[in-house]
Amino acid sequence: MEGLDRLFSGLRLSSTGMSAERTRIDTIAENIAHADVTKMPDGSGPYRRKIARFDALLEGGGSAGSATPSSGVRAKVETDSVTPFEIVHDPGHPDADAEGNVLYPNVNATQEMAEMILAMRSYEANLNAQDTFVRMAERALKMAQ
Amino acid sequence: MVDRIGTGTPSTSLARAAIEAALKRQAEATRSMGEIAQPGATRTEGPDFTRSLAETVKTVDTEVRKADALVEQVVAGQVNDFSEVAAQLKQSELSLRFALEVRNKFIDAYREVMRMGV
Repeated sequence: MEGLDRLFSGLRLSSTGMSAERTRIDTIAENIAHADVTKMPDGSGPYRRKIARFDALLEGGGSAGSATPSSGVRAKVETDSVTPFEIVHDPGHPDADAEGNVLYPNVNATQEMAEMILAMRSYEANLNAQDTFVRMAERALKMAQ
Repeated sequence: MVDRIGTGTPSTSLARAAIEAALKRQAEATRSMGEIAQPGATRTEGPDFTRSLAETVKTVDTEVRKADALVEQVVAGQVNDFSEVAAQLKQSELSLRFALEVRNKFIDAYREVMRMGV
């Protein structure tokens, strides 16, 4: 970062936070939409829940151990392969196995809703931080007039 | 009698000496100001104001161009991150307004100098 970018780093940091939260919301929306998909197009069984993992971005691509300040966050979408699938007994279902059990995605609607509220509030927090930054700059500008 | 008032008491003579010294300083200061104003006189070395002003204008111009390019991308449907666009727009707007404010200050100072009675 050089010159003006350093001056506006607060603005850009909040912006990366909002971008990451948006990715999180997208992931949650995808999970909720796929909550009943028992068979993926490639035949690999039910849909697997996805998680947005947050990473700190380092200034100038510095290594993780160095003391360079973070220049924001980034959300990485990963698959949750730990939580087990839900087993529902439904012999009439086309994807039922020999015992009449159907594997449903490892998506918990309640958990997803709670995550969505969390993501929305975090987005608002970033928005507020950005708004405060802009207001501070505008007050400084007013002082110069 | 007048002489006695003018020179007699030590306090008045001290005051006169002080006034004379001040007048001398004033005259020296005026002379040195005249020397600086003369063309061809050596200028004090320091950061070149014109160059730094031009560089600042260039930086602000880059900011505004970045915002323009982003808006074009939005119109073309190539951007999927609103917050980045908003941040860049606000950044360029603020830097432009700050630059304008600096310019206004300089123009004010120039006008003030031009208004000075000779």
